Amino acid sequence: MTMKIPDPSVLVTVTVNGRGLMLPKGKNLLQALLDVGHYVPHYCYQPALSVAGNCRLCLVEIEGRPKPEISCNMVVTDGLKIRTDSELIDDCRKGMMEFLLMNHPLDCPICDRGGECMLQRYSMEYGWGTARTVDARRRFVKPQFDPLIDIERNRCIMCTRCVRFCDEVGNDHVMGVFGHGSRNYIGTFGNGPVSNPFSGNVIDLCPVGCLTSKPFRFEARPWELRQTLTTPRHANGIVTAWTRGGRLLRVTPPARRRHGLYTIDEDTTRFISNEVRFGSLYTDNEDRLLEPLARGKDGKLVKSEWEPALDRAAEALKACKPGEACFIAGERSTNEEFYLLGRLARAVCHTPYIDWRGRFVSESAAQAAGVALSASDGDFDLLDKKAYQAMLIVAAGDLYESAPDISLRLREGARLKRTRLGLIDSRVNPWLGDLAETAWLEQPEKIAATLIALAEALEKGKDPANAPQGMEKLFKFVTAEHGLLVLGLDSAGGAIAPELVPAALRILRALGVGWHFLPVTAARNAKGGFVAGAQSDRVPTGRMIDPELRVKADEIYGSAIPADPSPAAPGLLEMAAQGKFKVLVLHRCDELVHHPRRELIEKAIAATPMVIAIDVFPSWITERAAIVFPGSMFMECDGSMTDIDGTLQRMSKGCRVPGNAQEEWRIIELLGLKLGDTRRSKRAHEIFADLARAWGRPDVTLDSITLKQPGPEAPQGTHNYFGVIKRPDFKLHSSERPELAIAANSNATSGRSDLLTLWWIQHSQGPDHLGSRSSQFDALRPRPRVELSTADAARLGLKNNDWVLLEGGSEQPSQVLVNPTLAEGVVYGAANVLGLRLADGAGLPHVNLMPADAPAAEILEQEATARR
Amino acid sequence: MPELNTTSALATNDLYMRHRADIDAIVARYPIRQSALMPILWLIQEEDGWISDEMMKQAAEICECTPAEVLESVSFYQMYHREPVGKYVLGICATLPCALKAADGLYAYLSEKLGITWAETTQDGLFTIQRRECLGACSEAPVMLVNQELETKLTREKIDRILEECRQGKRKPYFTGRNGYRA
Amino acid sequence: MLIDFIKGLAVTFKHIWKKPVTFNYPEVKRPQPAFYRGRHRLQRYSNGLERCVACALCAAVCPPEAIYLEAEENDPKRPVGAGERYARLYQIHQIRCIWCGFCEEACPEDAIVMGPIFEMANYKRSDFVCNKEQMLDAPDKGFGEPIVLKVNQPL
Repeated sequence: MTMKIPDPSVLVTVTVNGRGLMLPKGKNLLQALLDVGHYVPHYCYQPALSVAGNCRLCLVEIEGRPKPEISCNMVVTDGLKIRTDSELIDDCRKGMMEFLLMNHPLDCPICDRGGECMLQRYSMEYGWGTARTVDARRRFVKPQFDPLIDIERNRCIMCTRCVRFCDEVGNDHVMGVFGHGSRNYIGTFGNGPVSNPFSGNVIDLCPVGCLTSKPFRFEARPWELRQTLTTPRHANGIVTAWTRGGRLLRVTPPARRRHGLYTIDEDTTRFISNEVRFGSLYTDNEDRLLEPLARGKDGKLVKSEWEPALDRAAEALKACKPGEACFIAGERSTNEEFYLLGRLARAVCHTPYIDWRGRFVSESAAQAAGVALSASDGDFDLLDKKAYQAMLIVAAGDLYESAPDISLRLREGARLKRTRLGLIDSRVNPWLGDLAETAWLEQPEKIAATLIALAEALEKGKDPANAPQGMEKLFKFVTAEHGLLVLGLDSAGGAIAPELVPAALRILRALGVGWHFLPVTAARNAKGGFVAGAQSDRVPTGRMIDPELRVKADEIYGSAIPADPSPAAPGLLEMAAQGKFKVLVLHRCDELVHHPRRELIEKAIAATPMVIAIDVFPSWITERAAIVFPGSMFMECDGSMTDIDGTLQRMSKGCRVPGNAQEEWRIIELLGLKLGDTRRSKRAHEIFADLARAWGRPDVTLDSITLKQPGPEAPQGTHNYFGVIKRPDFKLHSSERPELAIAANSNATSGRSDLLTLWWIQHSQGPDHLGSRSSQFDALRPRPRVELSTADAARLGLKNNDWVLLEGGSEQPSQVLVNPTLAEGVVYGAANVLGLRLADGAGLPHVNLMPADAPAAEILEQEATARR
Repeated sequence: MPELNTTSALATNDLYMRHRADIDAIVARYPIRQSALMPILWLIQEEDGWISDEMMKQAAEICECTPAEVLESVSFYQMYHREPVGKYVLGICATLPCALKAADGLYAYLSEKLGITWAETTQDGLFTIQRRECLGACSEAPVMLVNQELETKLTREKIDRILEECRQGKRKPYFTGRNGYRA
Repeated sequence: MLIDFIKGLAVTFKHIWKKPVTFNYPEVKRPQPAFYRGRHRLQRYSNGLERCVACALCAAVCPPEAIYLEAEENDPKRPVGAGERYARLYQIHQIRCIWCGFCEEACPEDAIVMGPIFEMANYKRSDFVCNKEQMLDAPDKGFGEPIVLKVNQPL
């Protein structure tokens, strides 16, 4: 589907240093100059943030004006004549540099920013070279600050980037400039933490060494590090992994090449969440699987060699009749791993039972998610290019907690005025809500009905007169010609997805071809599982029931595959719990470790005689497995991931896999070889080539997708020895829009008015198989907390910070937070933080809130110190 | 966004509950709630003589902004005190014209006489010396603010006289709040 | 032939009575000039604190990459170095080192200097990796006072 992208603005001639340049009219002058490669020094200007104009370093001389002016606060106009290289400008820069350095301590040898500091760079390029200061420099006390961000106020140059970042991107004015005159300083109220899930970005944004990373403090000098442009295993996006001697030391947005060296890009527009920045440091955890484990005769897991362990696993799989082995792929597997697992299951073991959707609590939810993904053609890049006039986010506000990186991409679109924002949700998060043009608060059970009411009205025509009663604003909002419908799939484990997805598909048809659809889930490689053939009803070429596509898939797999349909992962687990399988292969099933339906998974593992697990960290699952194969960390592994919008991201190998561990795709292939498969790949590239063939784009290679540079304006390619390599313009979209019958509402209220509907999420900063293993991440761990609407709190006589128990959900006491923007009759909480346990996956869970005693003071204190 | 029910959200806010009528009147004067911040801070200072962190948090709640925003204002304006001050606050101008007329000598004399330095309060709780930015009377330099009264063309004798007047209670203390002064 | 033999002996006898130019090493050691680039020394301040702040400029400038160091935060209660951080590990590979003295030049803290020691024979290759303890000066050999900046901005 093509989409009309608005024309780039009109180009006008601007004379820069006597040379004519064609710049887009109305654009920020400094940004326009930077875009065409004319570098102007700047500190306070950041492309993603508002203009502050307080560093005065981007001064330009303008013909016809008496004094030099700052280019960051000026727009490109026709016939503008500026100079950036005159003697006056040189003098101004020198003077400004001297002012900025007046109170700056000369501790570059100690400063963590040394080597990638803009102050160092500019003082070499534009500064005086000597200090004329004779008086004592201003020196502040070093306070206790954020648990993960270190502050050294003496080095601050008052660019206020951090303040603006927290204010604009974090939507919370948590940092501020205090004091006045020469004695002002940055900080937080009471030196508290910078409390938003993106706070780590202030470290990159700081052009000097004022805000530095505590986990990275004094670990290494930046020039000693090796950079790998890669993608994390547990969140969307592209990052640079900085390693030294095989140890991951820090993770930042993609680094920038500057003077032949890579440094932090402080002008980045691609911010990453703390989940990625600090959570990725789980790689440092010592408690890692480095040897294959096999259960001995005495029933204990003992260290083993690869050969015997593989032999045992292969023997067990060989002994299976078709349909007796079951494969569950974790949602964080790479595309290659998904493909190889699909191939191993279908073409080698001849079993149809493979799926990746373990995250969802019920079979119907997982199936609905699969249907939604098959209609997913929304594109973040189009959002950045202002192709969508409107963006309607349905039931996905909780992504702020569960997948902040996706959520940020969406919000940045609205914040930078690239689209208008509308919300339909059970809980309106002020972070999104403050930007929303229209917000519709609805109980979870009724969201689908709201969508259908809108769809019915739209089917009559886009005339405002057709708007349903009370929905005029919302109706007007969706009458935009081009738009993006974002649908959250995994709130409450997907409990409302079975009704929501058909309703969303119906409204999409009513909205017309101009609207794109983007189902979002916190599952990292959901789209990868879908396109790489690890889904029960999909092969890499497409839908399994399509005979033509199946033949193609047979060709790529190299063997005929079973045609029977298979249930999704929740269904497979239930079959396993009934003892239907002889072998259960769990490939990096991170989402099952802290799953609310733990009982089911325990039963499935207990009922299967042979459980083979591939994992990097020990967990209760690996402890119960018969054979455990040790896998690799994200910077030790080659492959590719698919972002939720279909962008392929390269996962590059930056260092060797330590010990006796292996890259996962190699483990799966070795297992296949033992089972009589003949294919053996030297590199992940060969596996990717198979996938590219299946997708009908053999020109796309693993190397070519590495080249993606962030930012809409950045060139989409890179130079190498042979010339320019372009990143292929390729996204994994699937725009099947099957017509589904609207399911009967299985989520009708329980009938008991005292019960509340539990609307739960998996918190990205809560217990997680990977992220929470980062020791640095302890400080961010959220407290057990449930949210209640104002009306419910009043009815139950609860107020903020009261302790309650969720009867029928969790045994852990949690604190109440009264949220005025939560639908009535709903209680909201994070399953992995609360330790939620669900007996079954049928519909939305209902709970009763019981007042509880506060935990003992020492427990609270321990938690508080861990957090500090 | 559903409208936030302000009165119920502020039910636990001591400051609001104590000065409900005053605060409502102040808030009603401005189109944006946050604009009411400075008069509310003044209200706090009149009552307590200074603005504590707890009060800043409560003011933030009333004005629907973050405590950091309140602290920005409080720390920017020097007439808001972030620590308890004496009955008489002597604000010495520390800007250029007064400095040229030997304001530092004035400070040295005061500091020696009272035995305190910048931002400190005397043992008897009477005097606090503070650094002030330009007070707008450069032609009369050096100048000093005694509570709200401007004293110009200061000499040692004049300072002695002012201190004596303060000690005898001839000068009025500015704040007449509930909690009185630190004594 | 005999004449040549006598000529040769004459030279020998002439030198017998001259003062020898060689030293009786290892009993006698030749004094080294002040600028001699021998084995590295790590210097201290007069209060015994190490001068090195582990900025790694020596490692960065070292042409054969013979220097490896790892930094750690200095505990203000039990300081090791004068700065905020110090080198927990400081190693110089004496076989790799080409004795160019760039490290000495790059050091912003006057911490590393080339010393007079030139006797570096060892039995094992691994013994040529010189650790911080081997290179550090004696605690009483320090000089100069560390710069301590006073806090002048109470918040």
